Amino acid sequence: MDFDYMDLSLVQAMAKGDVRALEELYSRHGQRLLNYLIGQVGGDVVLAEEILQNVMLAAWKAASNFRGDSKVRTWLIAIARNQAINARRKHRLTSVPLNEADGLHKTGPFEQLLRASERAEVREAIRQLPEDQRETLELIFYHGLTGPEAAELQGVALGTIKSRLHRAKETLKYILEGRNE
Amino acid sequence: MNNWQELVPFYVAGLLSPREKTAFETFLAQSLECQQAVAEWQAIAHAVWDETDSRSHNLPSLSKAVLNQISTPPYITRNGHNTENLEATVPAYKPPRVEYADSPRDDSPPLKLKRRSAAPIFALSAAAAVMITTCAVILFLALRSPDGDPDHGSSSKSTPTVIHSPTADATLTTVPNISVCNLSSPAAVNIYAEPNANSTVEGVLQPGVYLQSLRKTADNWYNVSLGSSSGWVRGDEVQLTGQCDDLPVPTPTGVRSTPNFVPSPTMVPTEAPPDADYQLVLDRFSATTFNEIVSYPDGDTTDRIELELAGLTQEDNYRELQISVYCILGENLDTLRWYWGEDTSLTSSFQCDETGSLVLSASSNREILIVTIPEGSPRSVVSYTITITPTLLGGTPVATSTAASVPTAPQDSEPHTFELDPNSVRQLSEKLSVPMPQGDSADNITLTLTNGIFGQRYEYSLLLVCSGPVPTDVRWLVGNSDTAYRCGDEVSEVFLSVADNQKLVSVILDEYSYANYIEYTLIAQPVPSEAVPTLEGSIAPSDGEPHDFIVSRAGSNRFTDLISYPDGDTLDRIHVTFADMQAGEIRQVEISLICTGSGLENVTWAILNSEKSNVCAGTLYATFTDQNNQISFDVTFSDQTSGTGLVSYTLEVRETP
Repeated sequence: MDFDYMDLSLVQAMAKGDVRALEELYSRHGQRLLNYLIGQVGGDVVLAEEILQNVMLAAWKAASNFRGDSKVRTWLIAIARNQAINARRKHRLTSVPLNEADGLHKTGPFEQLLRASERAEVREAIRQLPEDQRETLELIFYHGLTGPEAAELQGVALGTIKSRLHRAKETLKYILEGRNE
Repeated sequence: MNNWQELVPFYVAGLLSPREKTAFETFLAQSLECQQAVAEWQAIAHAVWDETDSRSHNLPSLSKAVLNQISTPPYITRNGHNTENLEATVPAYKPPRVEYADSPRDDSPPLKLKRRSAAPIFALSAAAAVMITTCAVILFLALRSPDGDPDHGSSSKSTPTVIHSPTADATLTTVPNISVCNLSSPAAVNIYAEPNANSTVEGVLQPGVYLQSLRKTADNWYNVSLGSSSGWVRGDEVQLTGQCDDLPVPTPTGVRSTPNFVPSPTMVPTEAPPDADYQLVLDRFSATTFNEIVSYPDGDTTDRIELELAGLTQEDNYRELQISVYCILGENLDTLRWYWGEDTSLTSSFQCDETGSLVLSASSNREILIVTIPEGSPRSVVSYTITITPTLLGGTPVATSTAASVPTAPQDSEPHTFELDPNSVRQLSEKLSVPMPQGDSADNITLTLTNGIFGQRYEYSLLLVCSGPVPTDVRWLVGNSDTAYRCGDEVSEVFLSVADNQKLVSVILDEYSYANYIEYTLIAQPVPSEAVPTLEGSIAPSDGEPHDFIVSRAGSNRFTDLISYPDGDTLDRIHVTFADMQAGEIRQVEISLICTGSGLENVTWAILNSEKSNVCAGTLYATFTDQNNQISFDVTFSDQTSGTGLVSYTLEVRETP
């Protein structure tokens, strides 16, 4: 049984009232959801943990409505994203993204630049990316969402996901080159 | 392979289909450039993984609060004639929409669950399981059929059927919630399909159980939720606890209140007229728009809007409504608050231009929306527009099921002319649809200033409000900028003058959007201009030429000086230099000349060594590069000037995205 079908079985079991299925789903996805939420609320671990509980509660309540139109992990991230947006509104958190245009018109062997930079610097550069670019990178490379899934989750066209990836790379280049000059 | 750059990140993330992957790797073997791009993206992927994983903290156990809330599944028995299998509310598995054609399908049976949770979770879950079992037994016994046979009329032969939905959890309890209206009875009471005793009996309310009611009829019938449907109980057969006096009485079928205020282009209201409560019947596929007005302390301070989501079925049994409230005109717009439910604490309320999401389901398809200006606010009057867009969970657009039902926007002549007045709010409504070519998927709108005074610059704030199945697929652009805005975005600093009295706005519905139909309203509101100080004297003192004006990304980028005619300083030459240009960088800018004083009609300004010139309140466009980061301007009185003039001008440089 593949990972996705296993997830679906768990959600179906939740819909029938199986609390253990919720716990199993939580143990399978909780850590990644927590990492995602921490990024969404500006590093506030306590708030992210609080939201995570709400995400699982919402998943429990919505389990009988889950239609399998998307993968379960995409569905969970969608719930988490929505809860995080509501929490940001409530707590008035705002991200301070770098001007997207600032990332353009830089050249250079980027791979070497990434290797030359300290790991902490690269991670810091990723933290500085505009919210939409950082989230897109994270959805593709960490959560393994396909392009169409990421587009659907973020409510944009697939072309926008592709351009966000491109801009994210250019912006990272700009930030790291600025540091190494 | 033309699109290999786009595929690289997905290749690195392992997200290409086998067929795409094979084709990509064939190309990769031949292209050094592609190999370098793959190496770069691999480095980025590792960094993203590192960064995201570095946030790892110990995963807390599911909280007691969560476990408590999921531990009371409600049980309702049904009579024999209604054999609806409530387990069918759990939909059959459908394959994910995003799936590669050549991926193998796993048809193996559902997994037998294995426990992997930590000990504390197990302890909590064991406690929860005991609680669930206890509640289940109590509720099952309480709600079983009058003849005492638990199987009578039940859809399940051996075990009670469970309904899981937010509302079902909320509407049936063994303990009354005094903040709502609860119904109970010392003896079994029938629940009818309609509010009359001759209609079908849907179920039985057993002693010891409290059902919540959200509405009643004028002749004393109370509506109660029965999982995926609802039923009616006679008021004289039940005991009422809690807040039952103020339950809403539905208006007769087919009668629907209509808003009594629609923002008018020229009207700025001073007080909201009194109105009754509203009922909005929402479509599950398309968005609904609603306009009203509230004011404080005089007039109507609160609007109470009952939402009802129509047409949900057992197969299509919920929607997440994206509710946005836009404040269009009035005074002290930031005092407005809105929320749903009867929570009057305002702690969880929304403000203007915010969006909240509310899930309604077949078993709970109603909610009360409150829009208000709270006590103690300053004097306010707010005209607002609510848009309610139905989506699937997480804001996912309602998908192709709408294909057959969306209307087509008729093709119209382009461009549309939208005349703007310096002093009043104007709005223009149009429609877009896809798929093409039958519909109209894009509108070009020419904003045209009328009644302006020469030399004055008028600023407008533009707002686009949309309704339709997927408003997120709408983009709109203003002027020469490539920046795409979305529905609900407000764009300020849109300038028009007699000299430059037109600006193009394009509203586009993404052609990749599924079948979609959008109705939008473009609202243009004039922004009051700053008071202009009176000029003293009649002559501009001569100053040294040329003037240096350094422009930077962070600066305000305004240069102000005086010219006069025929005496004094009749000409200023200004060297505009763009600082902090990077190698290879290109900056597109929009330059305006804002004037005040006398003789404005005789002032001209031009880019040196070019054909580009304009008059007061006009705009010119220019490009700076790292090789050529200076452009010079002359501001002067024209050769044919007669009479006298003294003008204070500001040269303003703004970068265009």
